[in-house]
Amino acid sequence: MLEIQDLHKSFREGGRTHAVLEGASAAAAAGEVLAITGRSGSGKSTLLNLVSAIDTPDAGAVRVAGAEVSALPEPARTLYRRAQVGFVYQFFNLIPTLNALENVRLMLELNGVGGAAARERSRAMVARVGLAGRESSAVDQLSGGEQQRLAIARALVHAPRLLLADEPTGNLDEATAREIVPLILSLARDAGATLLIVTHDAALAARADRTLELRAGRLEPRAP
Amino acid sequence: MRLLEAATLRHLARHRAQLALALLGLTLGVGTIVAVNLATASAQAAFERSLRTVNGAATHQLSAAGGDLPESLYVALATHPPAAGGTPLRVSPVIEGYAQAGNRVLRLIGSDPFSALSGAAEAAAAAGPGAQAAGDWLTKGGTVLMDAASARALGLKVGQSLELRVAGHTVPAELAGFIGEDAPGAEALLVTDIAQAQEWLGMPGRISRIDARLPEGPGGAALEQALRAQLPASVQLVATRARARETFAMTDAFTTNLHAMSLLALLVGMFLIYGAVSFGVLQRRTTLAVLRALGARRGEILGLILKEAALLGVGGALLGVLAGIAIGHALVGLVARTINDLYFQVAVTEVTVPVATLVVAFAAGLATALLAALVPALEVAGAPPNLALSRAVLEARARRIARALVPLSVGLVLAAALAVLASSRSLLAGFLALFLLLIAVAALTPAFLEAVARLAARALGGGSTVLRLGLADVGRSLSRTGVACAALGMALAAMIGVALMVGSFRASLATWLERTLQADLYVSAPGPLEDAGRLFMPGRVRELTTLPGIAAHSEARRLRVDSPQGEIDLNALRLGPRGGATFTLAQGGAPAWAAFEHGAVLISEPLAWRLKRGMGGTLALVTPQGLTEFPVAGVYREYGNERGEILMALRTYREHWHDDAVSGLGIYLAPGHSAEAVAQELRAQAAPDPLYIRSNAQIRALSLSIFDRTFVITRVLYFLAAGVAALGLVSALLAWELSRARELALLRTLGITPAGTALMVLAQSLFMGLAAFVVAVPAGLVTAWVLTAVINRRAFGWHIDLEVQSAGFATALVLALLAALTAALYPAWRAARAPLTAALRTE
Amino acid sequence: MNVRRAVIALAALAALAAAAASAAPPLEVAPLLGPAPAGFAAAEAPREFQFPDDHGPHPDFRQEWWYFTGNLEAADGERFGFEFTVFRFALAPPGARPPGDSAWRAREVYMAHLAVTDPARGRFMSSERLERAALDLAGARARPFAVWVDDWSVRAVEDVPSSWLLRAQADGYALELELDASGTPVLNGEHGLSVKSDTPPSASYYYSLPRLGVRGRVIRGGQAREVTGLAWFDREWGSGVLGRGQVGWDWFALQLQDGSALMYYALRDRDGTRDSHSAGTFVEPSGETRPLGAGEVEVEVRDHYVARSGTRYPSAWTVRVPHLGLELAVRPVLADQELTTRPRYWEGAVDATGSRAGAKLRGRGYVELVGYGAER
Repeated sequence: MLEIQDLHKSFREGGRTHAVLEGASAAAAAGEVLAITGRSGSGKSTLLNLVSAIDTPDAGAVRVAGAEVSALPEPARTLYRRAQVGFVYQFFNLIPTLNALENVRLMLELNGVGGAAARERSRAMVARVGLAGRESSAVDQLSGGEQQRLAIARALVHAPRLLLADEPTGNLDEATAREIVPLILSLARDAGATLLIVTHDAALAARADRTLELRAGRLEPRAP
Repeated sequence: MRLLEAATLRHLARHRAQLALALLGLTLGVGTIVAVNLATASAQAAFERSLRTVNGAATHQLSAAGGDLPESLYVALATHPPAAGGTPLRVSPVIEGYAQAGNRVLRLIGSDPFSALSGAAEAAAAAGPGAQAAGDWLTKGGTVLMDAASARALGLKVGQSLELRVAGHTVPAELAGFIGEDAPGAEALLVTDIAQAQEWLGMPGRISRIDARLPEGPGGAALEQALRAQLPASVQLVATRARARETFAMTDAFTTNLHAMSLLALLVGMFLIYGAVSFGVLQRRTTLAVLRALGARRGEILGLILKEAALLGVGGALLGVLAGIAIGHALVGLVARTINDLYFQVAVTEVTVPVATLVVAFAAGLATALLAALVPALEVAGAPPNLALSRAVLEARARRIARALVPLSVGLVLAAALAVLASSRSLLAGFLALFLLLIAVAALTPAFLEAVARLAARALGGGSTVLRLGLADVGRSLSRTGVACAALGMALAAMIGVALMVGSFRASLATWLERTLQADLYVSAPGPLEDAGRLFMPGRVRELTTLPGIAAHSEARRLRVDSPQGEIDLNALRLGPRGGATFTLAQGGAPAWAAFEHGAVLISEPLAWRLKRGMGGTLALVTPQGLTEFPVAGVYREYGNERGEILMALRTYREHWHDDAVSGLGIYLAPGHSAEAVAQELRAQAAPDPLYIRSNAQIRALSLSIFDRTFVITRVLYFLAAGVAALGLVSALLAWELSRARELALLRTLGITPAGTALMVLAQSLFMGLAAFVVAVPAGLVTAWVLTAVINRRAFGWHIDLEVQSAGFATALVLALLAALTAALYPAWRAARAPLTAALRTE
Repeated sequence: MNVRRAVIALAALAALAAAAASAAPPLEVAPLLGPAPAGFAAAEAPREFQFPDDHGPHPDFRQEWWYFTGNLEAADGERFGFEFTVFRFALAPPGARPPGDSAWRAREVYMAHLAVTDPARGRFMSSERLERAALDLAGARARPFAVWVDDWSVRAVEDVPSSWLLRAQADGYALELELDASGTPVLNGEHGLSVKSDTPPSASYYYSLPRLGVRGRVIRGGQAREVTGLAWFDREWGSGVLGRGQVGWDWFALQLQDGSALMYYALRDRDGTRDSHSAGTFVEPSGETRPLGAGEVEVEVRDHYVARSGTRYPSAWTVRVPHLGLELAVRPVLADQELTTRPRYWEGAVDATGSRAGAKLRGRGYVELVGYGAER
């Protein structure tokens, strides 16, 4: 489903070129859960930006369901992202001016689904993450765990092929993290989405089908 | 509403202060434009209405160059009108003059109610109470109608008798009715039958003009052609609308000036919108990046920001239009007074709201908002949806832009210089240069601010850490501080420029008055120019000037004469004992005065500019002998008549015009005689005719007070622009304070007192105000030069000596500090009060 | 028709007072006129008429008018009607000293009405002129005959005193007509003395030229049409006032095919009845005249129409003169022939069909209706 092939990416910083990815490659099947670990600054976020086509690689390719998304022109990259990718961030990144339900519904709206159908699907999704009854709450009235549940709902409501999670438990206490991890895994599996989790959390990584470590710009399999 | 839009628009609702300031800026900008348009349009409409009252249904006027017409011409046209395809020509005779009732000078119209084309005659006819009065109109002598306001002021009722002074005689009259209150423009008007007017004004067989009504369309054109063919060569046929337009065109320079100033207010408003929108974008950087990451397209983000700006624009422009109508009502009085002082009598009784102007101003407001939002919108939509972009990166970019603006600013100055140099007479180019210059000031200010902030922080190295931190912050937060400072700098530069221009102008005027007004007393008969009744005949001149106590005198005959270039004011003068020394010549020296005494003329600077004439040229005037060429011996400074005038020796005038009358006398007192005593003697000698006697000091004071009134409206407009700039500063400081609440809270936790934080905010604001002022000083000087040497010169032909007075700078400095202080008060208070926990928690 | 024209002449004065007002002031005629003013001559007894002198003005009397109405026809049968009237009204008695020496000073005012009926286009044009009798702007004279207000005039052709040229133009219509005035004047009333009420001095001198041959051009929108036809000329002067209680009148002037002519005015009293001073004249084809008394003519109204002004006018009549065996159905050629002058009144071209003593008879003419609706 997802194929990461020999990605290269470097940045210029104050006149010096700093290579972040130097031939990173990996592949994941549909419904597979892939954890990626690595030290700070090892290029995990860069990798996610390339997979989500927010950024483009210097060399190499990202293929999703056979299509080379890294080679798409700008508007098509955005359309790919809105239709096939879901995001879960460390700092939730919910839209503060929209309420809980609206944050979820926004994804459907971006994908052209509106009206009662969108409302129903969003409501069901919010219920599945355990936030039934909080639909019209303002985002900043939710606790950290609730915000992350909502973010998961938003990431999956439009049934993406690919779910990208960037340190999803990084901003949560341990107890809350223990609730979130099974939720994200089960929901991703139910949706049949390929889940790419970037994390430091060993417990979380342990629950993935496979774990890769980003080291010296390459993805290396890590022994469990 | 779509969620995408809701997501952004709700932001506006949550930041009401920010929204209000942006709206206010735009409101004031659009409002000023509307107000100025409203005021000038109202003045013009009032003027046209008053002409309509006098001209009525007439579409054309027949008149002779510089004189009246034989009544036989009217009879010929009425009984044998030119024919063109069954379209009838309607004509009506009119006699015009002045009459004095009590202390009021009224315009006397002699009309023929039967042909009644003129509005005044119609009004007169409408006012008559019935057939009895109608019969009286023709058969009873002295029957008059008066405008209701004048009659009220004179305490006259219908049927009451009154005495009139007409053409130097006292005649009995009876008020037969009022010219309706509802006849706008019927001010200071006295109407009588044409027969009566002819008798009173002593012009048997003559009429002043003939009003004509030609139908519209091709029939009218054919009729006009037939009419022209039938007219003697000396008779002109002029469309009344064209004449009205010509007259109102005199105020062009004045109104252009006002419009330019109102544009300045909008320009300053544009900076405000820019500040508000770019800050709004900055605040939502993360949200917008998330939206992009989630799959919102670039165009969608761009559209969102522009939609928001459009909403702001519509709201602000709408409010601006409403505010403009309100401000306009207040401004109308000022504009009308200026026009009355400088050009012609116009009483603005109602405010005209020009719908087209409202639409244009609204569109301008909306366009301004969109244009101001375009830069930040493009920027945020174009950036990759990278969540990690830090403030530091943003500010670095702002600094880069500020530096890039420096060469742009230089380019703008060069363009301004080019606009001035490439054109020699275009007023528009002058204003263009002015605007380019002001925008250049705005473009330069951010870089300047950053540089001085850095320097100041370094210089204060040994001093207060807080202060140093604060100043360094000003330079580091250029994305916030730069725009506000630029708007203020631009407004201050304009203020300084105008203050210097007005001050210099006033000084030139005062010097000129000092030099020109040499006689001790100036004597004239009351009444408007051109009225035969206000002239002194030679006998009266002799009586008045041979009184004891009078050492010498000068004589002046002022009148308007015709020329191929239109009507020109002529001042025929017999010089007083100081000769030509009372004039300052811009061209020609002593020989000019010798030539003057031998038939040459001198022309004032405005006339020289307008007609492109100078020493050595000639000027053709219509004299009773026909077109006569006069050599121009020199050009003199004159600030009293912006249309310009001709100075001619009284002897020369009498040779050509065969007119011995005098309009005014300058009296030089013999030693030991008081001005009051001589004035008393003069009045006694002239009794029962009234005299207007003014001392030179009185005329000087009056002239200067008129001058000051003229520039009141200019000041009002510049204060409006400065007000908008101050608002910009408030909004920028507030936004800045909000965005660094965490930093400030951090400082507080580290031990800086609330008062210390407040002081820091205050100091930063004052520093920005000072920086704007420092930029504005040289820019203001250049602006002043453009205003005096380019704009005034091109508009009026005046030569004004630029005088750099400290008062203009002082006002601007006070205003800058005041604006900075006011702007800082609320943010400083907030900074000091913000609870630490909350400030630290929020992202 | 002393009364109607006195009202119209007065309206001229009122119009002077209301030249700009759209609504004419109410015409309370009698109080305005008051008793016969001192200094004017009065029509009290029959007089010797002298022609052409009596075509000219009579300045000793207060009011006077020249009244032309006529029906015209082009070669293709297109019809026109026209009315051209000049009123003279003195503001002060003859010999009164003017208060000043300006040539514009005037003792008299002239007023003229012009109306053209254009049935083919369904149009009726009316226009008015006012002028002071000064500087030759308006006036009248007998030798050679002329009466004019500004550029509207009727003037005798040089060397042909009985041939008159009528010229007037307004609002897209111009008339250039030559009138044959060689016929014998018909003296109405008692040898030309027409008594309108019992209140003296209400009489006037009144004569008519009932059949003026017309040749000339009607110029419509710049296009000239050659026309011929028949006109009626009424002349009247006096210094009189209205009879009390009289509110208006219906005036008929019909030129019949057999060469005869009928003039009749029905004065209407306030109570709606016909005033006993109503009268008329019948002119036989031979030129013989028969005065008609109030009771000798029956006028039956067959229809009404409401004008644009809102005034309701009669619009079809049956006129009978039983002792002459004459019965005529009279219909306007165009319903809307109300003059929008001051005052408003209806004066229009009509057709007449009927019979005299069993023989079919047709004719054309003019009817005038004053004192209806708002005028009252």
